[in-house]
Amino acid sequence: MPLAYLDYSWDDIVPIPQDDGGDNPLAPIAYHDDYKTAMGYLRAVMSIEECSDRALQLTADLIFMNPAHYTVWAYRARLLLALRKDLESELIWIEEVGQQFPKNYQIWNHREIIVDKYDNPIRELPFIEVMLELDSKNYHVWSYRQWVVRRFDLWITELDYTDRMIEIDVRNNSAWNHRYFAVFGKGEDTAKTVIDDEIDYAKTAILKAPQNASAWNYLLGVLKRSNRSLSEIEDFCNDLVAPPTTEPSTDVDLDQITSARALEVLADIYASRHEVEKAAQAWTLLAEKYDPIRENYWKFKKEQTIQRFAATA
Amino acid sequence: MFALDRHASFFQHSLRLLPYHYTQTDTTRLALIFFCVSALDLLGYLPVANQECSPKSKVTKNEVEHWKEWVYSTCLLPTCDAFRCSPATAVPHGASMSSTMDNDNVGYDVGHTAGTYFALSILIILRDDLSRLDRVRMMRWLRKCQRPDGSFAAGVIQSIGNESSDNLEGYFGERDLRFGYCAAAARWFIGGDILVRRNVVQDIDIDSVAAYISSCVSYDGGIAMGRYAEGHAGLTYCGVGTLRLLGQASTKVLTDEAVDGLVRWSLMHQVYAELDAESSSDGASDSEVTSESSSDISVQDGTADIPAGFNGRINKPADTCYSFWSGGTLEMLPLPGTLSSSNTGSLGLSDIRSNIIFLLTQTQNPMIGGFSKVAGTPPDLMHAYLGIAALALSADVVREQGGPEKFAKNDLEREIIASILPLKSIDGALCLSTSAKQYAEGLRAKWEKE
Repeated sequence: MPLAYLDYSWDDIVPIPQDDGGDNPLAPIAYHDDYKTAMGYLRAVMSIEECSDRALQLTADLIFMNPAHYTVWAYRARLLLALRKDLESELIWIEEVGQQFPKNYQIWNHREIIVDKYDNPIRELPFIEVMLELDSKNYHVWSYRQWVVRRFDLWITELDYTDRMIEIDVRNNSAWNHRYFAVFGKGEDTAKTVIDDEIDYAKTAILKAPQNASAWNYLLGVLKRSNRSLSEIEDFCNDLVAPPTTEPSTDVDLDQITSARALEVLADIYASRHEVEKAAQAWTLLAEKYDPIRENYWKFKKEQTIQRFAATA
Repeated sequence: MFALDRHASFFQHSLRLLPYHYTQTDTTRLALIFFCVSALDLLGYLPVANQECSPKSKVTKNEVEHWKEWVYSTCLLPTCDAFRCSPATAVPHGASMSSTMDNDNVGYDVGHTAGTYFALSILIILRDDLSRLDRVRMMRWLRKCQRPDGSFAAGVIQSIGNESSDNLEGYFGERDLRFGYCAAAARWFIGGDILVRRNVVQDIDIDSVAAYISSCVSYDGGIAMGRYAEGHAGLTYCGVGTLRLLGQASTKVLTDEAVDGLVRWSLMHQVYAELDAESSSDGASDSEVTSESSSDISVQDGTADIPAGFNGRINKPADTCYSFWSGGTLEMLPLPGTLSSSNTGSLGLSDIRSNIIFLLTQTQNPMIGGFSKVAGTPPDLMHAYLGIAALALSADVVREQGGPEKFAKNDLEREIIASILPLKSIDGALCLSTSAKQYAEGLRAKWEKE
């Protein structure tokens, strides 16, 4: 990779080598020579807090060699503002870095500083979309999107956006989480009709993939947030453990269960109504058949509930 | 089988030289060193006082002394109040230079909460008595790293005066729970609470830490990077760990209901390895449904012998490090609705056996040692350490609950599970051996009497 900082003259600077603590350093890294040299100049300009174009270029080159270098980012932000650099060019540059190092934390923090100063979100949502195309569950990108939405009051598009992302992948938990943010994050009271719509939305998604924890968590989260009762979805859960085509029966049809989560919710509903036996039966089914990975947990819940009701009886 | 000796060589070699690609972790080198030193401790390869050390260990007592010296000499700041996270960020301060950005002195060579936490952990594991530190100054520095909202920054770069943006006004580092955890652990290691009780220094604002963590609880009951962010097992560990390390004052966040939710949330992250490999490969809903029903069939057929690790977020594949982040969280949380006296908390509610088999058959590298993030990729230090730490947590449960035969379904499994038992006991909240924690408790008891 060409190192543009070397186009500047550095004759007046004496690089400061790394003090690695003598002959037997701990976990030394076999640095590339380019990195070692650039770091030597970095220490030299940082030590005198030099504010110059060449220092700025040096930070850019170093970030490409080590994007997690946090003091380089801090130095760069100060240089940009002190030198009154064009912030749009910086945003374009960050977009390059972001696409090359999609897992990097630091660029988002940096971009926030720059965009906040730039005070214009025009490039943000398109850039975020590009990044989410690379990885639709990128944690930092989704967090950054929330910041942008709040900072520039861009709530209006968000629900549709999550709809699109969930349409592409109904199991994208980041998209579901963002939907919750889009509905409740503004901090205003959410209308009952909106809540009803969200409950229906989640139910529709659950019917597409009955084991999908993302949609279940969303459904339960919305109910809880709006102080609505679990029993509101009892029929819905019943349909998933015993499809409506079967004869009405008080017993759960063991071989028809398509959703362990529906069974879990039913167990909680039964327990809340003190129907201990029915709850215990559901937990036994989860432990033994439908969710054996959590066998210990379901058995624990069952024992605990039986004991609690035995004590109060 | 657990390749104990291979792992020991992997970490011993890493302390001597790391390949080029670790350059991207250059500024957090103390983390890499912590992974090596703490792993060697858990593997029984450190020649420190009152501890058994494997005859195969190549680590000498002189080396242990050198390592301590090295941490102090390369990473403790001259002001003696905090550690850097790497020798790479050390910058000799320029004296009264004129060509600066502003009139104020901007030092980039500053203490780092993670560096301070890792340095203290390493020193405790190596049985240093921390007498070279100015613990009062370190507490003052920790206070400075706390933002008004209760969260912690990675550190503070002196103000440059003119710029008033919050992000430039000193604090640096992302706003999430990792640095708060580091600060809470550092405070515990140096007996910050003891100094506070003695009125020699003011405490960090514990109520605001607790309030900040509460605000990060996601709608599904996990803990996230911030309010309305997505629940994440690593951040859940940091949040719960912070509360546990801060003790009494923050227990009001960990109510029965919260514990219940966190235990359930953590357990829900245990997932079958193969199921998730499938579901993550294709986003289309059709194939999602297919992969689900195939998993149901395999469960119903009673062939649930698929290894099961933990993921960090819902519908993501299992990854070695989350066996520790979720396992450690569960270890810290009491059994819901009880004041569990068990040392392993709620961890026994998870499927210990499947998790051990996942780590040993999917992500362990039995040839060169270490663990990788997911099957089929090369091992790295972080996943290697967290894999070992996760197995140490499992080993504690196996010992507590009656040995390998209680968990194994056949002779081979019994042997596999028994192979991790040489691992030393681990403390979930501090992520280091119980014996190292006991040593730190001894120091704290001594300071209490001073």
